[in-house]
Amino acid sequence: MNDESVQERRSVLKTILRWVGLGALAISGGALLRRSTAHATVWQIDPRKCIGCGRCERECVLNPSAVKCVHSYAICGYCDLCSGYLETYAAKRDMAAENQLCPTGAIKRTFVEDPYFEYTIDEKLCIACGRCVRACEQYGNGSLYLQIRHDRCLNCNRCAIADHCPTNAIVRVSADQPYLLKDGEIKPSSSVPKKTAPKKPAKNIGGGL
Amino acid sequence: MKTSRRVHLRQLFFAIILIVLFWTLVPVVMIQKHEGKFPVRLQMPVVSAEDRFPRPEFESGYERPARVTPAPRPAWRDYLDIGVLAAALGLAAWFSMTSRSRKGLFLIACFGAAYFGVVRGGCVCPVGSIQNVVYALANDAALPVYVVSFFLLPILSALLWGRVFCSGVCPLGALQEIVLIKPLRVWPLVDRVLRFLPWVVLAVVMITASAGRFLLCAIDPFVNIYRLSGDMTILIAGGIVLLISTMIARPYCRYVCPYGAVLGACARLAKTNLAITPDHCVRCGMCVNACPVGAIDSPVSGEFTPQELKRERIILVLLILLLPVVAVALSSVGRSLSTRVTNKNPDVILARLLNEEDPEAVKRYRWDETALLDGFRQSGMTVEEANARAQRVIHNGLLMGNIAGGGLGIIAMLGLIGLTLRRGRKDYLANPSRCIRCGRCWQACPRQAFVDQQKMGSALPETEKPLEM
Repeated sequence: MNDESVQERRSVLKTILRWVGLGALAISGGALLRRSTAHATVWQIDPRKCIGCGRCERECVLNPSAVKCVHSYAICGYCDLCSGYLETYAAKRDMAAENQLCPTGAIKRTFVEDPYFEYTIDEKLCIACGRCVRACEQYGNGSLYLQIRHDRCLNCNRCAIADHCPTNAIVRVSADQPYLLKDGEIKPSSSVPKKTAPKKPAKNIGGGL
Repeated sequence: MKTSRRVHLRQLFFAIILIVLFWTLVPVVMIQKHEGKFPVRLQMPVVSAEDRFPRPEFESGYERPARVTPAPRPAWRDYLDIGVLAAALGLAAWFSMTSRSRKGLFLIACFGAAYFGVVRGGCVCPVGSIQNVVYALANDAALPVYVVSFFLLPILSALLWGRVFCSGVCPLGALQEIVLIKPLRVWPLVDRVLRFLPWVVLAVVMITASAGRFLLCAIDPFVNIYRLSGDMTILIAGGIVLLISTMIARPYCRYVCPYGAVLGACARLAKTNLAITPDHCVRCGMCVNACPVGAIDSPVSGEFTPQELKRERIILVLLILLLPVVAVALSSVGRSLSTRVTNKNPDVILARLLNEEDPEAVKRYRWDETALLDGFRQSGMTVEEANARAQRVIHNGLLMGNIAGGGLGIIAMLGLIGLTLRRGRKDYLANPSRCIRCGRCWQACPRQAFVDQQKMGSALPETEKPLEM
C-alpha cells in the first residue's frame, strides 16, 4: 500500500474540510453578527410582573442583593398614612422603629408641607425584601418597586434571582435602556397614563428565564 | 486493505447523506404537529395599583428629587474584552506553535484567570455563550455583538491553530491548569467513555437553553470561586473539582466542557497542529508520559489480520446501519427531555393555568401558582400573548430536542465508527482534538522534536542533528 499517497489524500481532504469549516463559520458568524445588537443586555425586573415576593433578597449571588427598592416620586401620593412606610397596626404615625414596616429602616420620612411627607430610600440599607413594595402596591399608588441596580449587578449569564422568580418578571433588557421604570416622565398633577408606564423594549422582553 | 478502506468511506458518505436528509425532514413534521395548541378561553381583568391617591401639587416650592439610575458596565469595556480575547488567543497560539514556551503559556493561564476570571467576573464566557446563542436563535431575543464574538473567536482560533483557547485563555481551564501539580493517568477505557460526556452535556444544555434555563452556568464549578459569592453548594463543589484537578488534569475540560468538545472537533481540521518531527524523535515516549490529558498517541500498527478485517467490516456495516436508528432514538429522548424542561417553564405553566387545560400543571410549578397568576394580572399581558409565548417555548423545545438528540446520536455513532477504522501510525502524534496546549510535552522532550521543522530546522544547533539509528 502506498503510504504517501494515503497521507497526501488525507491532507487534501483535511484542507478541503478546513475551508468548508471556515466558510461555514464565516457564513454562520456573519448571520449571527447581522442579527446581533450593538448593545449588551442586562437583567432587569419588569415592575408590571413583579409581586414583591422577596426572593430577590435571598437568591441573588450578592449579599446584600443587587436588587433595591426604588421610589417613583412622580407616582407617589406623599401620604401621611403611608402603607409602605408604616407597619399595618402601627400605634403612631411616626419614625419610631416599631412603627416602621421596613426591617432595616431604609425608608426616610421627611415632612414637606401639610399634609404631605416625602419618602426616600437609603439604598445602602435596603435589602430588597419587598415588604414596602407589596404594601404600596396593595394600599397605595405602587410608587415603591424593585429594580436591579446596575452599579451592583454582576450581570451573571444565569441570573440566580431570574431562576427563582415565581412570576418570570426578570428579563434581559438592552444596556442602553437598563431600567424599566414605572414613571415615564414626571407628571405632577395628572395621572400617569398606562402607556407611559414601563416602556416595552423592542426585542428583549422574550422571557427572562 | 486499500479497497476495504474505500468501501468503508463510501458507506460512510452514503450513511451521512441519508441522515442529513432525514434530519432536515423531522423538525418540519414536528413543527406542523404542534401548531394551534392553546385555545383562548379566559379573559383576565387588568388591575393597576396606580392612581389610588392623587398626585399632590405642592405650594411650598418643593421639587421632586431626580431619579438615580446607576449605569451598567460601559459598552467600550465589552469591546476591550473582545480585543483582549483575540490578543490572548493569538499569543497562546504563538507560544504553543512558534516559540514553544511553556512559561509563556503558563503566564497566559495566569492572565486568563486574573483578567477573564477575577476582573471580568466570568460572564459572558465563551463556554456559556453557547447557551446565549441557542436561546437568542430559539426565542428571537437580543444577541449582543460581544457575546457573538466571544462565541466565535475561539472556534475560529481552533480552526486555525487548534485548542489554543483551552490552554489558558479560558478562565475555567486556566484555574485547573494552575493548580495541576502531579498529573495522574486516567485508565484509557474510562477516559474514552468519559470523553464522550461533553457531547451529552452539549445536547442537554442546548435543550435547556432553548427554554431559557442556562444549565451550564448552574453547574459551572469555578465562577463562584472567581466571584467568591453565590450558591454555597456550587462553591464547595468547585473547591472539590479544584482538589481533584491537582491530580487528574483538567477534569472539567475533558469530561464536562461542551465547548471544549466543539473546539476539539474544529481542531481536527486545524491548519497547524502540534507536530513531532519524526526525524528528531527517538521514540522515548517521554512526551506521552508528560502529557496530562493523554493527547499523544503512540505508534500503532494499522494492519488487520484477515479474521480481524472480516470482523471489523461486519461491525462497521452494523454500526452504519445502526446510526439512523440510534439518531432517531436519541432524538426522541431529546424530545422527551425537552418536554420535561418545558413542562416546568413558567410561561408554559401560566398558559396552562389560564386555559384551565391541565390542573396537573399547577403541581409541577416550583412556586405558588397564584404568584404566577398575580404577576400575569398585574402585567397587563393578554391571554393571547401568554399563549403565544408558551407555544413558542414548547415548539422551540421540541425542535431543539430533535436537533440535539439526533446530533448526539450521530456523533456517538461516528465515534464508534471511528474506532473500527484503524489507522496505522509509525510516529508519535499529538491528537489535535485532545491537546490543550499546556506545553509539558516539549519540555519533556529530550530531542526538541516538537520544534517546527520547517521554521526552526535550520536554527537547530549542530549537536541536535538527527541521531543515526
